[in-house]
Amino acid sequence: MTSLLEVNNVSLAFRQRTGFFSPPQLIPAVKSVSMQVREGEVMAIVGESGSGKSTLAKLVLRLLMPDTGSITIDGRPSGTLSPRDFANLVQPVFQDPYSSLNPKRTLAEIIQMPLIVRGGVSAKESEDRARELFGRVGLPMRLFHTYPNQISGGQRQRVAIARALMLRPKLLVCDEPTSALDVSVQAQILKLFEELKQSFGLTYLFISHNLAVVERIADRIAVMYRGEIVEQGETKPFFAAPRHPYSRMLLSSVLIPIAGRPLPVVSRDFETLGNGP
Amino acid sequence: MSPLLNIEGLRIDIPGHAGVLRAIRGISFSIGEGESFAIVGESGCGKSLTAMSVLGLLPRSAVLSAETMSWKNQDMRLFGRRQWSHLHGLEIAAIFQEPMTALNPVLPIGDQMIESFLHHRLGDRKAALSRAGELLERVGVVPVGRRLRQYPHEMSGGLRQRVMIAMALMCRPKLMIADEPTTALDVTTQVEILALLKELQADTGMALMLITHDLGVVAHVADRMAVMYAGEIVETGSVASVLSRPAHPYTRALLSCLPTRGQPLIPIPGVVPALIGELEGCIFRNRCGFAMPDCASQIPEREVAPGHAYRCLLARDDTGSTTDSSAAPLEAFQ
Repeated sequence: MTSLLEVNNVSLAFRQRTGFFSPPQLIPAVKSVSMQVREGEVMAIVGESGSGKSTLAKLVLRLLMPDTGSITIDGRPSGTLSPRDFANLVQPVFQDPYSSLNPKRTLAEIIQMPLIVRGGVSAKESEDRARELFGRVGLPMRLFHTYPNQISGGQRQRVAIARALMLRPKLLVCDEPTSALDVSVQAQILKLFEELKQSFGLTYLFISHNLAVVERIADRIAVMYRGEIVEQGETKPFFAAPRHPYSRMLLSSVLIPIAGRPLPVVSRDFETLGNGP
Repeated sequence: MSPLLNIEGLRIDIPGHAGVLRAIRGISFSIGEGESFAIVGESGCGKSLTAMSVLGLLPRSAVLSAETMSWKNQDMRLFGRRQWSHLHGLEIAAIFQEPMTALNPVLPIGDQMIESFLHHRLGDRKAALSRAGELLERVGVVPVGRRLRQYPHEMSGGLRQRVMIAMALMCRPKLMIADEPTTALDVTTQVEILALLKELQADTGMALMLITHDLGVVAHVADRMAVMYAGEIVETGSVASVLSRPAHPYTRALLSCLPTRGQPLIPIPGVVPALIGELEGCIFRNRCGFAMPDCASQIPEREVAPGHAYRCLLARDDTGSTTDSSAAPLEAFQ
């Protein structure tokens, strides 16, 4: 299978001004990251806050530009794609469904927006597609003309997903799409992602801080730590035997609902092993 | 020994345009000294509202009634402003989910920490600052001198939650209410904060009322628990008993939708019903794989073990003996 997304040696550092006269400090966020995501695959990026996983997502979404390295989407350098072509290929789903939906527009308008911006279809076609997707993501039709504040967090995330699918993209970049949701709603949304992947032949770049969440959905896992991918591999062997001490720590931090077990010890000993800041 | 907090038959109604929202309907629980009690449930089940009622911070429109609502054998319903204000911070302290919004962004954290200490006249500013310093050191927010002068935005989420915990401990409370204390945090930071809470509890002997939707957190922190669904407690008991022998279909469903290594993930179909108007029978029946016509009638309380009770028509064995087998009917229901 061909790679839909290729990230080659990408680095990005943020510049922070510490004082008016002092030169800006460079804070590396993503350091020489390389990975390939094949078509139809779910690639999970896992790490703590500050590990650079959201920065990587923004780089893939072209919300940020890399300092060095290149990103190829569907065989073409991502930077050379027109915004329209890019939007036809890649769409985002963000973490917080409360801030990612415009509160002053109805759900119908929100979902159709990508298509309205792109143009090329009649209003009727656009609404038909929105209605179809509305049902596909499991939203009741009576909510079609309501506003985001009238629906729950889980429903909002479904709206965000429907909107992302409007242009029939190939790649969905999902940045912590279930972290703001209840466990039961999270399970519903994860199931929805699985179903949509099957029926639309989607590829996901799925970002999370919780390894337990991605275990079911991911085909491959990349663990990020301080801007670098420290371990990358197929899901099954990864969970059977994570190699990097940081991966092991992330995995042991998942709390299992069995009483009487001590809390896992979060040991950051490996920070002194040369991976330091 | 009488419990620290004893609540029986608590009801909270919130009048609205569409009718009266019966947010909490007759829940009972008690928390003993030094005990960890967890309330588990989804958003909107009323767990935070329950916490707010214990803090006397219900919205003005809410109508509260209870058979018993007592703090150290004093009737909380009779408390005036002065007694509530005495209770706040001094005897009951609270930490909330969002350490970003719970702290005042325009005050250095030192000034925020000493507020309740000074309000309750436990000492002068110097004594307050030295206690704040001790506590920051205890929760691992160092170097203390610099941290006291920092503003909330200069700290990470985990550090802010540590500051919140230290602030809650300023007046040596008897009960700490932790409302989703780790939900906004990374899994690794969550483990660190929970470990800290447990240590502090062992040190100070305070009781903990933990509010969460995560059964994994409950398993590692609480002694006893109540599972809430749509304003009712559907199952309660020791954490060991409830988690090893869950009886109510909702508890089972909640367990099977938690992403756990190697277990299938089974979502609960449907959504929480609207709680407006008169509600009869089992409130979970529209989402339950075992629902039958009798579920619309009064539901008796059944006992699994002493202290472990649940509300359901079915015996525990009939609601499926493992989490896996309870999954099948739920799946079929979809």
